[in-house]
Amino acid sequence: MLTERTEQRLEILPDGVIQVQNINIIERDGKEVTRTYHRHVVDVEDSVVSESDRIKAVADVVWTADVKVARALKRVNSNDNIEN
Amino acid sequence: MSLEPPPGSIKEFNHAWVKWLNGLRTYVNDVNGGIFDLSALTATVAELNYNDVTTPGTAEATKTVTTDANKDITGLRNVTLTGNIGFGGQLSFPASVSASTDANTLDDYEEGTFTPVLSDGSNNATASVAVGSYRKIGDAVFIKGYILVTSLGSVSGSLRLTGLPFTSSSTANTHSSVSFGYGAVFSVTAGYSVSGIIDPGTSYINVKLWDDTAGTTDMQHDEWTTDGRAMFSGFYTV
Repeated sequence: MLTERTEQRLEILPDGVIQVQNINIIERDGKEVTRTYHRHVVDVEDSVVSESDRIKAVADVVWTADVKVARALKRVNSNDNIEN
Repeated sequence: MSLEPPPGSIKEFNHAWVKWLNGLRTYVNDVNGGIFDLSALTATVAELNYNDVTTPGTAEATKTVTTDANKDITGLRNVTLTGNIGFGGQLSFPASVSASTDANTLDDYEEGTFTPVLSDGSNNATASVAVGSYRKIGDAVFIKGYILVTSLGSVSGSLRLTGLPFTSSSTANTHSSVSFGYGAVFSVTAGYSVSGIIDPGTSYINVKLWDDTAGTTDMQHDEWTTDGRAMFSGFYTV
């Protein structure tokens, strides 16, 4: 019998960015047949309204005030040489 | 012939034979049926173990290397080959990357999908088609996608395509370029080109327009229009 289930793996980068890997797994009689990945990134201070409760909980813990400031500074310093 | 156990031997052998295989090799069975290739023994006693070939399918926790009923071998750590590798199957990497800093080491491969979203950074457009796929090879992420917008909603000002599968490298000046091979229902002057860049430490494409004598400017929402659509591809590093 074919069954389908999903897993979600979160990768927390050092600057607080959350990389989300949604894993779709199809099994036949309990043995994995295939798995596919769908990814997106949740940057610090991005809206998490549409994210899973798990991501919301992680963001709530990881995105401290210091992390938000450091992330904003890093973003500016990385891009300040591009005018347009 | 007879085989005398070497001085200090910690194993008891009950059988031995010799075999020519690119030179003389000597094999012995121990009392449990395990096979030793004495010619190949260079490991220290602490490292020494052997492949349990007498009872395939019966992995023994005490053995470092085991062969299961499918002839799958597990337990090997570092293997150095002096010849070529031929694959009859696939080459797999762990789900979580085991990052290497060695410039000659391939440490990751992953393929999957992502959903591109046209945005101004705060507001998102609605699309009837939003398809993206990626291949990550080492620290390089190759992307391609197609988006067909049906409503800009509240999107206003400079445009970006969000939803990239990985955050780009934060190293300063490591911007990446994205090419657009197809665009339609835009409101731009004929001859202008759409392009994109991925800034360091971001997960979106800044959409650009080659419309200035000095180079590019940010593409604006009224240049994309409500039904604008585009195909794009590129790669960046993480």
